[in-house]
Amino acid sequence: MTGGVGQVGPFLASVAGTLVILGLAIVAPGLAGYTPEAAPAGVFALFWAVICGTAAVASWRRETGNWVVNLSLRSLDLQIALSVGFALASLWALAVALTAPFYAASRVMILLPLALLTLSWLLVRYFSSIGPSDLPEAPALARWARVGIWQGALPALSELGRWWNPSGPWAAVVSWVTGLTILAAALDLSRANLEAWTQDVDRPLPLVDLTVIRLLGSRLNPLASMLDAAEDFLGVDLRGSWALRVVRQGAEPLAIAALFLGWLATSLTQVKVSEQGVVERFGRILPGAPLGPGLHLHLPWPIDQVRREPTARVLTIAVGHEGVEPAEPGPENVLWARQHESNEFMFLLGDGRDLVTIDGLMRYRIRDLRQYLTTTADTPALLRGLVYAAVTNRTVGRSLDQVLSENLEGLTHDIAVAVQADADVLGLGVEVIGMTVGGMHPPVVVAAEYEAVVSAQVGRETIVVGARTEAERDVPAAATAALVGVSKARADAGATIATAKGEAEAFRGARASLAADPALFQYRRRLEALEAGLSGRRIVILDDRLERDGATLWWTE
Amino acid sequence: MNIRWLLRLGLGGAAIVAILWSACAHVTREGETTLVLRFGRPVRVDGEAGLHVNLPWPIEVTVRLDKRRQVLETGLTEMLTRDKKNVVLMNYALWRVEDPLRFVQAIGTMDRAPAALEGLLANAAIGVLGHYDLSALTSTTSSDLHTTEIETDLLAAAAPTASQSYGIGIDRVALMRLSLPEQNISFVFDQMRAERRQYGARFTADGEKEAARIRADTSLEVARIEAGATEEAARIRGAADAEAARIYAEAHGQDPELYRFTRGLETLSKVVGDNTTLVLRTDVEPLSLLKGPKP
Repeated sequence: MTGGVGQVGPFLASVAGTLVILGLAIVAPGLAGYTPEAAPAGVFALFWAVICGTAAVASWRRETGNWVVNLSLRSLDLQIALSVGFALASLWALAVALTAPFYAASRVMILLPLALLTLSWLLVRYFSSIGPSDLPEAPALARWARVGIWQGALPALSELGRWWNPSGPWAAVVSWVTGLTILAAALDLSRANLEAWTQDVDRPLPLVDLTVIRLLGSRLNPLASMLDAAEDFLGVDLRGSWALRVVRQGAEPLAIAALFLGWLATSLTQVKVSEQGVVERFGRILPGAPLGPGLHLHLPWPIDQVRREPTARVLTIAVGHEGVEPAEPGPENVLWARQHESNEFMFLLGDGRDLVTIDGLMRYRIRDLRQYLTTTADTPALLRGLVYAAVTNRTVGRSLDQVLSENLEGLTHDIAVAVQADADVLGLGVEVIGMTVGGMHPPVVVAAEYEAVVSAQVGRETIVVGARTEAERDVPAAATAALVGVSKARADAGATIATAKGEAEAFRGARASLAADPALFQYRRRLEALEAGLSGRRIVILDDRLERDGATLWWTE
Repeated sequence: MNIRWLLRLGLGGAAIVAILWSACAHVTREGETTLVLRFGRPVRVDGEAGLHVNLPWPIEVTVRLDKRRQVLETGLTEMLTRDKKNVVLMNYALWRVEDPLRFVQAIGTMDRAPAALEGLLANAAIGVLGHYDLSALTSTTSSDLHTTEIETDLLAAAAPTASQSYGIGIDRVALMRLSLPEQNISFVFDQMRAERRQYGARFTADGEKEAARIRADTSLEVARIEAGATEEAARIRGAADAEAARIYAEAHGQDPELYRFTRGLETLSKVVGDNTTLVLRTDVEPLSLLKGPKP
C-alpha cells in the first residue's frame, strides 16, 4: 500500500478527465445533431470517461487503503456489464452512423472533435509525465488518450472532407473506423474480465490496460504503435526489415503527393452521357454553352465546381398517387377495381358529387440547365404542382360521364400544353414531352358498380339477341309449316279431282255395262255390295216363311 | 532543408490557407444570398454570386439563404363554403426569400418556412372560401366556376402578411387538389353506387322491353304466315272440290238412275260398320238360295 499527498494529483486528473470527457460525450452528439461521426465518437468518449473514472476510484481507494475490501467482487460484475453495454452501444453507433440520411450540422461542429483532440493531447502529455509509482494506470491512460486523439482527428477530417464534397462517403468511413475501434475495445474488455480482479493494489487495473488500446495507442503514430506492440508480443523489431524501412521512408512523401494530386484531380470533371454540366467559379455560373458529355478541365476546387444534371434523360412525375408503383414482372395490369398505389388521390368533379381517380405520368426533360438550376429550388415539386393544378382545372368543370368518355389523347395534350406554358412563364428550363394516362376511372371502392353497369349493358344486348334468335327460329318454322300446309292442300286437291275423274270414268263404265245387260249388271252390283257389306259382320238370317206362317219373333241384345 | 520538409511545409501552408479560407471567405452561389452577422448584428447582404470576404468566426457569422423560387404544397385543409358545404382543398404556393434579414429574424432557416407559410395559407383559404359557393370551385356550368378569382384572392390574402411578417414573397397560390371530407366520401360513394344501379336496372329494363317487342313481332309474323297458308290451302281445296263436283255432275247427269243405284250401293257398304248386326230375310238374294226347292 502506497499513499501520500503525491497521489492526489493523478486522482484529481482522472476525475477531471472523467468529467470533461463525459461532458463531451453528452454534449457533442446533441450539438452536432447526432451526426454520423458524433455517435461513435460520443460512445468512445463515454467509454474513456468510465475508464478514467475507474482509475480515479482506484487511485482514491489506494489512498484510503480499503480498495480490496470494497470493490473486489462487485467490480467484476460491473466490468462485465460495462463490456456488454459498450459492445451494444458501439453496434448501435455503427448502425446510426450508417443509416443517417443526411448531415446538416454547421461548420462550427468541427470545433467539437478538435476539442476532443486537444484534450486528448493534453492528457497524453500529462499521463506520460507521471510515473507508474504515482499512478500504475498512467501509461495505459496515456495510450487511451492517444487513441482519443485519433478519435477526435478523424471526425474533424471528415468534416473537412464533407465541406469539400458533401456527397462523399466521409461519415461512413470515419464511422466504420471509430466504431470498429470501440467495438474491439469492448470485446477486449470482455476478455480482460475473464481474468480475476487483481488483489494487488499496486498493479494496474486490467480493464485500463487493454490489448487493443495498447496496439493502437502505444505511440501517436498508429503504425509505429502497432510495430511496438508486435515487438512486445513477438520479441522481433519489424522496423529493421528492408521493406518496411522503404515504406516508412516513402510513406509520408507519397501521402502528401497523393493529397496534392487528389486536389489537382478536382480540376477534372467527367460529364456522363445523359448529362450536361455548368461550371461555377466562386459560385457564379460561367457564361457559355453547358459542358457536354466527356472529360472537362477547369480550375480546381474551391475555385471552380461543376454542377451536373441529366438533361438528356426523360424524367417523370406521377399524377394521381404518391410514390411509384412497385415494379411487377410483366406488363402492368390497369384495372379499375384494383388499387394501383396505396395512396391514390380522388378528384372532385364538376357536379360536386362524383369523384374520379387518375393514374398518369408526366414526362419531361431539362431544356435549359442554367434556368433549371437557378430559378427554382425544387423544379420537380413545382412541376408536380403545375400538373395537378392543370388536371384539377380540367376536372372541376366536367361530370364523371364526360370525363370517362372524353377523348383522352386530347385531354392529356391540353394538360401538357398548359404545363409547358406555365413552366415557360416561370422560367423552369424544362421541356414537357407529354403526359400519359394509364387509367382514369371511378374510385376503386365503387368501380365494381360501374363495371356492373357495363354488365347490364351487355345483359341488355343479350336479352335482345335472345329474342331475335327466337324470331329467327319461329318465323322460318312458321313459313315452313305454311308451305307444307299449302302443298298438302294442293296434293289433296289433286287427289280429290283425280278421284272424281276416276269415279266419273267408273260411272261411265258402269253405264256401258248397264246398257249391255241391265238386270245382270244390277244383280252383280248388288251381290258385290252385299259381299263388301256383309263380309265379316254379324248376320241374323230370318226365314221368311216364319212370318208367312204367322210366327212371332222377339229380338233381344 | 530536404524535400520531406518542403512537402510538410507545403502541406502545413495548405492547411493554413484552408483554415483562413474557411474562416474569412464565403461563396455565394447563383440563386443564393448570404446574410453577414457581426456579433449577431446584421451588417450586409451579399446577394451577388461570387466570392466574398468576412471576418472570422466568432466575429462574423454568415447565413446562406436560397433565394430561388420555392414550392410549398399545403396539407389537405377542410373548409366550409358560403353555401355551408364542406370541401377539402390542397394548394401549392410559389414563394421566395424577399427580405433575408426579416426572414432570418422571423423564421430562421429555410426548413422552418413551410410550417409558417402553411398556417398562413390555410387561414387565407378558409377566409376566401367562405365567400364563395361550392359551385365556384366545381361546376359543370362554366359560368359558375371562379377558380381563377379564388386563386387571386388567396394570393391577395396571404402575400402581404408573408411579406411583412416573414420577409417572404409569395408569387402564386393555385388550387392543386379538390376533394370531399372523409366522412362525406362514403356517402358520395353510396350515391355513386345507387346511381350506377339505377343505370344498370334501366339497361336491363330496356333490354327486356326490346326483347318483348321482338317476340310480339315474331308472333304476329308467325300468325300472319299461318293464316296465309291456311287460306291458300282452303282455296286450293275448294277449287279441287268444285272441279270434282263438276266432274261428278257431268258424269252423273248422263244417267241419274244409275247414279242413284251405284251411289246407294256405295253408301250401303260404307254405313255398315264392323259392329253392325244385320237381320236379313231368306227371301232376299242371295240368301234365298238357303231355302232351296220345296220338297
